[in-house]
Amino acid sequence: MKLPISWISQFVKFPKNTKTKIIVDHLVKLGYEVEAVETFGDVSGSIVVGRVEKIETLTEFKKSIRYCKVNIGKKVNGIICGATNFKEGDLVVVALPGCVLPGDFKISERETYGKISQGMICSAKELGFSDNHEGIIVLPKNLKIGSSAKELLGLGETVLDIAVLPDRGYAMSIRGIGRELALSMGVKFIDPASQKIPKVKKSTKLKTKIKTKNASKIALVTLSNFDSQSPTPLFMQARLAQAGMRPISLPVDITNYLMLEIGQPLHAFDADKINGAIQIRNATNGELLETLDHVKRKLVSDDLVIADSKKALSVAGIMGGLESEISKTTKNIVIESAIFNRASISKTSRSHKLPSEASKRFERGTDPEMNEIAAILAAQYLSKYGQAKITGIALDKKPIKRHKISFNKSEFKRLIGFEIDTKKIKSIFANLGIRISQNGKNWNVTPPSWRNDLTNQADLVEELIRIWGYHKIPSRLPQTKIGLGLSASQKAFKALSIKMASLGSNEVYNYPFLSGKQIGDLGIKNSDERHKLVQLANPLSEDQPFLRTTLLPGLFDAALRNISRGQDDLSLFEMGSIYIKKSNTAKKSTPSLLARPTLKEIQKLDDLLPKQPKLMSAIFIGKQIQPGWWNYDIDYQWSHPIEYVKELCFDLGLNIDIRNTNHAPFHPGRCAEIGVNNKVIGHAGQITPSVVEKYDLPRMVFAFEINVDILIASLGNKIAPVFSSMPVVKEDLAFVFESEIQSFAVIKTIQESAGSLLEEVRLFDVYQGANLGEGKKSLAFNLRFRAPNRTLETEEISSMRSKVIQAVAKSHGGVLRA
Amino acid sequence: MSDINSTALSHESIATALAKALSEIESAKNLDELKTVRINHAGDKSEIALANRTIGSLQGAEKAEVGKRIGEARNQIRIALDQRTDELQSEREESILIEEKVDVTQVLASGRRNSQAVGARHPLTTIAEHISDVFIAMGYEVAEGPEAEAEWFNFDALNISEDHPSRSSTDTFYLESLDSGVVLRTQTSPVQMRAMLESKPPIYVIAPGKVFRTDELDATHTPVFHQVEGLAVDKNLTMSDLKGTLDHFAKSMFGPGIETRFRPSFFPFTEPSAELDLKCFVCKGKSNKKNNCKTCRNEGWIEWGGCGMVNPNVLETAGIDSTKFSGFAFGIGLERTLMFRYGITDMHDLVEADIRFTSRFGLGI
Repeated sequence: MKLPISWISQFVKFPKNTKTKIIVDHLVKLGYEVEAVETFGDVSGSIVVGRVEKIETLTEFKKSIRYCKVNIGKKVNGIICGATNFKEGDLVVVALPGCVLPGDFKISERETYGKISQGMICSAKELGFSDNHEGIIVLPKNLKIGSSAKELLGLGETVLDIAVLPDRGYAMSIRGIGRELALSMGVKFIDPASQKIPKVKKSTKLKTKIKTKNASKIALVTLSNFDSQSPTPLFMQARLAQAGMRPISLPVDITNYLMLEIGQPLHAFDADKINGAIQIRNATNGELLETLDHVKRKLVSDDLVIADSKKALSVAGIMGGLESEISKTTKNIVIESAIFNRASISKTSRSHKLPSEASKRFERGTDPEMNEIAAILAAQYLSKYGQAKITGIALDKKPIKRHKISFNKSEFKRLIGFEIDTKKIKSIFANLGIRISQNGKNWNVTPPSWRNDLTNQADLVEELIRIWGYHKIPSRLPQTKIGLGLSASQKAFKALSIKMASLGSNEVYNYPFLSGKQIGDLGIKNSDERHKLVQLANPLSEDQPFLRTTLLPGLFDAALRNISRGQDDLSLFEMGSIYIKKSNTAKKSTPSLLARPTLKEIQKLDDLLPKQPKLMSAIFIGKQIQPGWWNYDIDYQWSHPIEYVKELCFDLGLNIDIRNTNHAPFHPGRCAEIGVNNKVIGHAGQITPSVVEKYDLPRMVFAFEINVDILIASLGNKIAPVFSSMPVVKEDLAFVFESEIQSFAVIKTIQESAGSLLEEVRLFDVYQGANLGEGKKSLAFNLRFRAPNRTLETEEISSMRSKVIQAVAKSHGGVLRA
Repeated sequence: MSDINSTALSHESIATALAKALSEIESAKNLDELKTVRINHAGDKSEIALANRTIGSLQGAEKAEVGKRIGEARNQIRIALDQRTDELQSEREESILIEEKVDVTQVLASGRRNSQAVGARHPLTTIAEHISDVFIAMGYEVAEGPEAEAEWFNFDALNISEDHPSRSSTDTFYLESLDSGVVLRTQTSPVQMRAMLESKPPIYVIAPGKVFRTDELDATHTPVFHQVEGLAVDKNLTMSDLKGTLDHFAKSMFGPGIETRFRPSFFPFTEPSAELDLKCFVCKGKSNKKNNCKTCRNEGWIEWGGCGMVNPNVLETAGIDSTKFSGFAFGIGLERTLMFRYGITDMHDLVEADIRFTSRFGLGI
């Protein structure tokens, strides 16, 4: 909300020459964010009141141009003007040569349309006063010619743009902010609502009734004989303009003015457009109402309306209806002032996407004691400036519950950490309008009508420290309990990411949103869990309504983004949740907030959630190592992802098991299923070229995707190895096999058959060639034998060697190569 | 035997052979030449060796004397050879080292990606770890919660009313339907409630995690971002403890000179609530219209996070007696923290996965 300094100064008695910075600092201290300090109508030079003495209309130009003789006090200036909404004898605003208007618009004496123009007759828009450019400003007659017009129009005013927190409805007004500002600065505050209000007798004609649970008060003041030609007084126009509201018409301006000043939104109806009693009721489903913004709105029963006996007149607390709007011929007026339920207004405002100055106040909460006062004050202004006659008032109200809080002043120390004395507490409370009736150790405290946000002791403590000053809170460290550090799974998670990065991969965080096409393009079977998609009810983009069930599409996109920027060789990895829809049909549940939910209730809440395992996936494209003077380069190939998973697991103390499998989107012939402790943790290998083609990625893309939760659940303890210092015996054995024989199976056979003296066996060469015959391959193994406590005998070695050869022949048909 | 002086065994000939040997050893230029010299003068067919073979023709004292002389000569040759070998060997070592000299700047000249694959962790990961480390050092433990979360945990249990604007579908992602009761968590705060339900006070937890709001990606917003939540529930915890904890936290992130301030604010789940501001570390609060500061927009302070004393309603929902225990909670944005720490000016850099960005950060901080 925008706060013109001169307006608030009317009620807060600032010391002389108080700097804006001081006011800003106090506002910030009180919890009001000052988003901008602006100058309203930032003009320099002389802007004066002038009287139009003579108008000469120049007809030789395309549009009608007037050459005016304008009396500016000591002399008469000739001024060219295109506007026609004024006549001889009118007072106008004249910007004299040398003026600079907003937007760096310099006024100078110049020749135009064949005349010398000595200044400009100004419109509201040119002065930055409002966006009204319909014509120039015509001033009231009683002003002194040649006097400055700046103060009249409020130009040059300092205006603070303030963000008000959502719980502080009362602060959406000069009244609300003024009270706290005065208290914080220790100066006098005059409550704008405390002025004397005339007595208005009960209306004999108009009746009113609240017919909904979502409104608690209504006051209607009726007026007759309104002079609809009456202009809004300049001071009021100026303040409205400073506060960012456009002056419209006297009745509307008055209601807006009072809303800004005391916080109560008001609405003025043309009384002659109303039939019968006025009520607040819920709209009927499908009820139609055209609002002031010329939009025909279809209402629902949650919406509140102000209605007469026949139809809805306005969307209650939000926007008036077009039909009952004040017009240029309005004679009789009804001022409506009501108190609505916050939630109801907020809901309607949101569902119709119709935020208004009124709804912003109602949804934060308004002072229920203000509605009648505000309505009468508005009527008083209308009679003062619009010659209207106040004819009566109609009221309806329901009892409003006021919170009473039992407050123990030790609560301040308990929550803030130090004491302030009782006198200070009482004075802060009193100045905030909080009433105390002492009641032994605990005080009975009643917050003022405008503070619906104060409901418990903590709220009161906040008020005390807010006024006392948050900057006075000392800084000290609590005695915490002793913690155990990261859990085993948290450590494992961290280790995986460090390892993966140190192996040369770059970590990324992708959005979890996917399109149906992205999932479809992977070519996975319908029965696959990755088709159990969770859909967003309100996706950011209609293209991507699903949550990811695999991290791979995100990595494909990220890789493409890099490649398109010229980074062709890359490895990316991501660790994050996927979301798998559960097949159960758990129903939404809402445990009571008054006590701890039961385990069963918590379980019911958790049942609602999709499964969210954490995955780790990586993608490899191009070269792992660039060519160069170091004489080697390495292309990523199908084996790298498997190698990486093997290393990641090894670091966690786990050995993996792998076998060929077919698992989209992996290449059916180049996909390893990876197991740990007989559980499948994921897959690794090459991505099917036709899949990556759809992503515009190069043909050779390698990847892995593993389930970190399963991996971490298998974590065991690492045990230090026992190793021998005896000499090693190395044996190389090469066998010819049928080509479908799996090398790791052979390794296992060798391990089993060689016995405990086999220290290590590894595959070191794979060969296929015409000399071996069709469908054959040669696998060469390197075996290392060693005994824990002695040197091996030649006979022992040859015996183990022949056992291995026999076992490999028997189990895999392997024939030893000569 | 009077002709001894004229034979190979004569005093002169042994002396001549020795001098010749020593001179050739001395002048050998390399180990190969020295090898030839060794064969010529210390080998089986060297003059001295041949002389030694004829020593049997002598008798008695003469034999002993000649034998001694030959022995001495051989010894001198051997020592000279050993010495020269050592000399030549170290000369050769030196010249090899000179020949093997490389241009070590090649490594830098080839850029970062050369003979090694270079990887990096995302700064969001490392900053979350860094923050966790700071709090673990204070005795906290790291708590976690699901990203797709029950509306009850994300809103209701945190004292956020049913009509609160943050629940609107223009702010919060709902799963399946707007009344499914499941959202993508909009804050890490639901972890607070989960932590309080999983254990009893004293509770000291820190919870970094991913959160979601329906904002389009731009220079300062992203629909998916990260927060870290802190929660402490214990006897005698006050807002002063909160201030001290956050001051310590701020120092650990931005250095010991950082200044902080509390500013009143509103969050449904804390009361009193505060905004935590940092004294602008770019302009040190000294900017104005003339010396414009982009970081704090001349306000002198930058908003870092929200905090407050846990609302008694929230404690009661967790089954914790709010008259016996008090608690504090705070939440800060990790992206924002990274932007401050590393001068990142555009959110796109944090979400686009460009390896040129990530690789700058290496394995950690």
